[in-house]
Amino acid sequence: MSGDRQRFEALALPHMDAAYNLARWLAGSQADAEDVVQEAMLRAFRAFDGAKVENVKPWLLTIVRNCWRNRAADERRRGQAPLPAEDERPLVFEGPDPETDALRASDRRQLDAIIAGLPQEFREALVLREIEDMSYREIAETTGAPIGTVMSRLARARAMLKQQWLAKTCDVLP
Amino acid sequence: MSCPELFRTQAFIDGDVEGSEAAAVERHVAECAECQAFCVDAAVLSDAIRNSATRHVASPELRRRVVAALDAADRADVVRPDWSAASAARTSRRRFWQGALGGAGVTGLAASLSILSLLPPSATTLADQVTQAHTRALMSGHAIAVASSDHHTVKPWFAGRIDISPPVQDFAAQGFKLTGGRLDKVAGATAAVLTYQHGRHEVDLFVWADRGSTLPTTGVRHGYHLMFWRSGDLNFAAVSDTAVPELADFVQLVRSEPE
Repeated sequence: MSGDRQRFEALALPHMDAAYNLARWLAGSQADAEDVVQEAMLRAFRAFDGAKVENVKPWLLTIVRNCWRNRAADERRRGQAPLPAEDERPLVFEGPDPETDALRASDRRQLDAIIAGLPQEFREALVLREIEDMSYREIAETTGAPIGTVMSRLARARAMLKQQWLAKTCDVLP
Repeated sequence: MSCPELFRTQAFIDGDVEGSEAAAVERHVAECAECQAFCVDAAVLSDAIRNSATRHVASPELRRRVVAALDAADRADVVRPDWSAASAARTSRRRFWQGALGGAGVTGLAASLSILSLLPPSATTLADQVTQAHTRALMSGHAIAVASSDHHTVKPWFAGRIDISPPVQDFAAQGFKLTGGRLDKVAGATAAVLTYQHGRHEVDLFVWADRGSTLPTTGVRHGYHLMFWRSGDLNFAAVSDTAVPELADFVQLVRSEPE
């Protein structure tokens, strides 16, 4: 195994879950997300030796995001418009029932469904911030947006999430 | 959103503001109700997402596929990129805000998210649930279902409503005045709650049938102090935003008073 390969595996492969998580939240299906990640890892490896990478995670996630965008554009050109992520998930909100043991699963489904239903820019900002715990600078690097835009997207995403969560759960308020 | 400082407040909550700027944000938030509410909401949402939203993970099959693709593409040329991957450690202010504003600023959002932790009772969830039941009752104004400082009124109220007989005492002489009682849920069980007034502070005493749960140790949740103990086949929790020594005094009164 080449030294290059070893270095790539040591530095980039630990971020494979992050890569897949972002791809999955963007693409909406497991099969699409896995294809995106495989392609992205290969591209990242090829770009790796020449790239002066200071922070591997946002660098890798940028490639993941670009692969997803190219793929979505290709599919649109071929007339196979992929369904937006939010349409692939059943947006069925189950009435919260504090008595059931399945509550946590229900919370998870509801939260996931709300996040999946957010417009892409807001969804990815929220996922990168709250699930991947990335800084504004890293999110800006990954999404190619200025930091100010990241901030406004995050604020909007949170406002939408709050509003929709309350709308789905207000009937359990005392 | 209307406060012009809101993005800066958000950056503070997200750990993207440091040093003297962070101090400036703190001064602003101390005086801005909108930013205070935003901090609490953001902290609650953040907790909900981090605890409950799905972090998808790469399957072993995907990892195999990737390694195979790298094998196929492997090359021997080696260069040395400049690695300095250490990113600045960022401190999260979420905990602070949950603690600092848990009492004053719990919103409908926080109350609704309390369903997140109605889980099988572990020590942690018990502590969370008692706190949430306490704050929910305070916020909703339903803290007292039977209002009376007379334990001869409060005690019979519980009979027929709950299958335990909680000790009902008034400690007005010692500074903890019985104000009434209500029923609440703790870890799926119905609890009798006795409400006390201590100065400006509300003290709730939760009593429920022991189900063998591990009780939490004394602690702080969302700015409230909690003390748990077991007596006979009953579990007890005292919760309040009063100071710890005073809550300890209260607990001692309850525990020493023979039924």
